[in-house]
Amino acid sequence: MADVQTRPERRTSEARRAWEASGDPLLEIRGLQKHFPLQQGIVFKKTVGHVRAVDGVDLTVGRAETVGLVGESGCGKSTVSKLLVALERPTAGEIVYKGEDVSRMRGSALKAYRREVQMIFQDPYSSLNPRMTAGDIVAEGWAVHPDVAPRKGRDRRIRDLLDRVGLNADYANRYPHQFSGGQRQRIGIARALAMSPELIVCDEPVSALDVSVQAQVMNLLEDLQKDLGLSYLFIAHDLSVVRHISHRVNVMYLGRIVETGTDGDVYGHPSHPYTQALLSSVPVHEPALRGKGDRILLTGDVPSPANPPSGCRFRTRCWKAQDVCAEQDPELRDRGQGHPSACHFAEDHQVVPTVEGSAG
Amino acid sequence: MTPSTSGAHPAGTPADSGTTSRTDAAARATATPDTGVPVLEVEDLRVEFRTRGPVVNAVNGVSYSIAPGETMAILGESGCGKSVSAQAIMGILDTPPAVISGAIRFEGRDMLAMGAEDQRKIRGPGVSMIFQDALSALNPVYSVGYQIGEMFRAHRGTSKKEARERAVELMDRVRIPAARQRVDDYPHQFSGGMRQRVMIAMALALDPKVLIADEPTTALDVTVQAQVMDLLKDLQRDTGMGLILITHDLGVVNEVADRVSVMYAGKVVETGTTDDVFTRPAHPYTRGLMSSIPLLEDKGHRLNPIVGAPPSLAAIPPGCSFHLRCPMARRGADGRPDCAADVPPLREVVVGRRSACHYSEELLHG
Repeated sequence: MADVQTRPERRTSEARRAWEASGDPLLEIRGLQKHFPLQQGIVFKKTVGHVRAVDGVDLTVGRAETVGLVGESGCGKSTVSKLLVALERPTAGEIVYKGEDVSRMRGSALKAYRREVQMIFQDPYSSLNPRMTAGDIVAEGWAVHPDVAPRKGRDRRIRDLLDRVGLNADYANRYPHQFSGGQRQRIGIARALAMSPELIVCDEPVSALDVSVQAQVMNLLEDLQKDLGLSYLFIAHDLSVVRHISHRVNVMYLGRIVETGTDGDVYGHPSHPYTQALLSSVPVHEPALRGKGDRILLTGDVPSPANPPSGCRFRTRCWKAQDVCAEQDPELRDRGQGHPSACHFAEDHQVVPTVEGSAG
Repeated sequence: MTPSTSGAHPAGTPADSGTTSRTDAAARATATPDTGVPVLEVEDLRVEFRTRGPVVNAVNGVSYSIAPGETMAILGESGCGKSVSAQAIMGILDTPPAVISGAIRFEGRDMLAMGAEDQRKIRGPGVSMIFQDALSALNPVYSVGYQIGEMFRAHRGTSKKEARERAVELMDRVRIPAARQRVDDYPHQFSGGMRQRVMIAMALALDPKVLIADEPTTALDVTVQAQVMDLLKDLQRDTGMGLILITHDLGVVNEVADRVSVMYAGKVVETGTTDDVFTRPAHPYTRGLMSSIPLLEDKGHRLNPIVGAPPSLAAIPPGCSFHLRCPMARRGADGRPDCAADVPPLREVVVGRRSACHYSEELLHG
């Protein structure tokens, strides 16, 4: 698909040239924090606290790699996606993209970054403008970045892009309400592809879709990655979906990453109690595996991110919690399980039953 | 309705109704679930909506039954008519625009043939329902205790004070922590999982014989989903009620349902025990669903989705409604059925298995 993926010439900075020569990952997030102020009062606003939505996240995305970010609602995974596409500015920490810190980017560098990092949204109904045709939606970004597509061949590009995402190119003049949910999500993907991106942040891209349509969209994302060398940050709450599409998986709880590794590490050998509880809650699809897994039922609710527990954030719901958990914040490192886990008492405990042998 | 459920008697004193319902529940719990006699039967149910545009055929001849203590799942994608069939049972569809035909028999009596007042007496003590979105199903301007207690006040004429006490008991039963302190709280003060428990408490207030759960955990996180499904199973074991679980989640069906009916375009296309249907699907749609889902236990290979999208209920294709998406669809040579023209009946293909496909045998044995 060479004609779809033509990248415009741009002036390259020192840092980016150094990055291109090195083998460093495409994106590196270090110690990322986002705290939202909690304010009181109408005329004289005063800050009474902070919601620590993202509180020290490290993450890397390699070239042509899919990295999964999984967690329950309110864990801060969507805030990470907003920080990544520079819709929010981080409180602390840095996002290093191709060797350059995004928070220090200005002007044309930031504009180029916003083109190279695109986003696909969860809700295919509210993320498309109902008064624009599919073709106009796909082409809208070219008004800001005219150098991506020469003015002359734009109609042809629109048709190519719609074709690439599996839509009939003759539908370019239709409006969003004339498409089904799965087709709308394809328009959203075509809109992202129109910018010739390097990295696409997928924020729950399939959770609003029916299972049969969900599989079509996931296959499309995999095909696009193979053909265009895209990188994905894939954010979702569905653990099976994340495993299927990701090369590496990060599990998030209350603003922090608690466990990270390859899909085999995290799903086959979870070592953080939260990951274990999360995985054991997922219903299995095979009658033969029913009741074979070790079901861990968590009690209580997720604590408020405005007032997180001291030490380990999971300790209030953890069956392993001891005094040290309240005093010391466990860092995310390998404690002998072969992949990093943020638990003082990390140990490998298989909870997902497999056909070969049931979990112990 | 059996005479033992005194809830219908307006004269019943609070104390009376309290003891009656407890003994009633105890009696049912000790009785072994007799799977032979269904408590609720739906036969050839049809629901169409006549609006300004084309007629929407939401349910097209659906039949199923549910026995005490049994869990039956209705599995299907959005827009297959699974929720509408449940809403028809509950009598919460506006007629018009809805036109309902067929039979819905509760303990042998056709609910569609009886008057509104008789129907009302079945809703609550006979059949009750919980909904997907607890926040919009609960009234935001009344406390949860008031809303749970309303069941007793409306159906049993219980006093306000007694109804509040019963609400606390029920909140305890659905494992809401500190029920007595929280009984006067409003829905927005509860988390998603706790709101769903409040709705379950309301539905269980009058010890229903059948509980319809319409996507009860879809809006919840996976750890909370596990808690709520666990609670529903425990309550079912205690009360011996029949449970109709409407969902699109194959995993939930596999974990909790005894039997499953798969719906597509307003019809049941396959029905049987969960184990049978999941291990050897007899309908190409069911098989397509199975191969569309990524697995948790294995990274797996490329997904093999069903092509296209489900049809609009206002324009269901002729013949087999699935034939446009079906990899096995035939044009019908040598006197064999034509999938594009002949409607496949729901027929028994193996003992205890029914499938609405002309070529089920090929799928099962081929």
